[in-house]
Amino acid sequence: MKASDDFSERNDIEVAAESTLTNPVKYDDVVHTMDIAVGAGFIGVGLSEPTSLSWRPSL
Amino acid sequence: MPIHKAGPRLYRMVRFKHLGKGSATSGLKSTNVSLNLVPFVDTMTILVTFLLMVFSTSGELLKAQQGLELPKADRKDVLQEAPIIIITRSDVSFQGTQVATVDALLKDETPTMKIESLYERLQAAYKQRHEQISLGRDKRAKKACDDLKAGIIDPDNLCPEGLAILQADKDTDARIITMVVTTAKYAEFDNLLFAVKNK
Repeated sequence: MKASDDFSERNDIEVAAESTLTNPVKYDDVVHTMDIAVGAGFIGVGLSEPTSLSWRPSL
Repeated sequence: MPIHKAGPRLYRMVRFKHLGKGSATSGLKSTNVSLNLVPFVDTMTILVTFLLMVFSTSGELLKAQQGLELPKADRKDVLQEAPIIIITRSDVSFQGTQVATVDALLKDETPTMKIESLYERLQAAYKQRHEQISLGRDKRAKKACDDLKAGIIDPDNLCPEGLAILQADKDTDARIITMVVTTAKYAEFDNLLFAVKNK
């Protein structure tokens, strides 16, 4: 992803966890995601609230 | 040896004759008593080892706490001294003082995601640090903050203004983490260092 044209010149990324009562997300998983992002070259990892993301992906 | 009725009989049964001997010159009883120092040295060694293990002097920043197991990560950086927010399985605390309970926060449906008690403490900490830096009391910090304004970031000397360490249990619900991060942002703590364990 980092190597693609959209992100090749960017080092920042936003991470958000959509945790709910029925589908809780653990902090461990958030850190794992951030760890992977840093490993891919995104040095500035920001943790956001899901509704505050700059761009909200849809599945 | 005959069996006697129990009772104090030191000096009668166990004769410390060497203690009673007078010195060669004065004839008075000697006050020099030799003690076996080996058990004292052993005890002191164990005590010093224990204290060294408990109170590390290597600049440890993280605080061990019950109900707190840090997540593991491959990529890591060195932590810097900063105010610490701790999230255990039951509580959220700032600088050692409890500010909220995890259960109460999970029941809270406030759309702002702001923890008021944490916000007040963070804001007070920010003002205090900001004053210290602007008055030039901490020259190293002032240099780091001036560099940051100029776009220079030294990972070994981060600007302490708006810098905090987040130490959270790995099983914490991400909603709590989001609430804490959002509250920190409201209080101008934009730079959070996430404490992790080595993989």
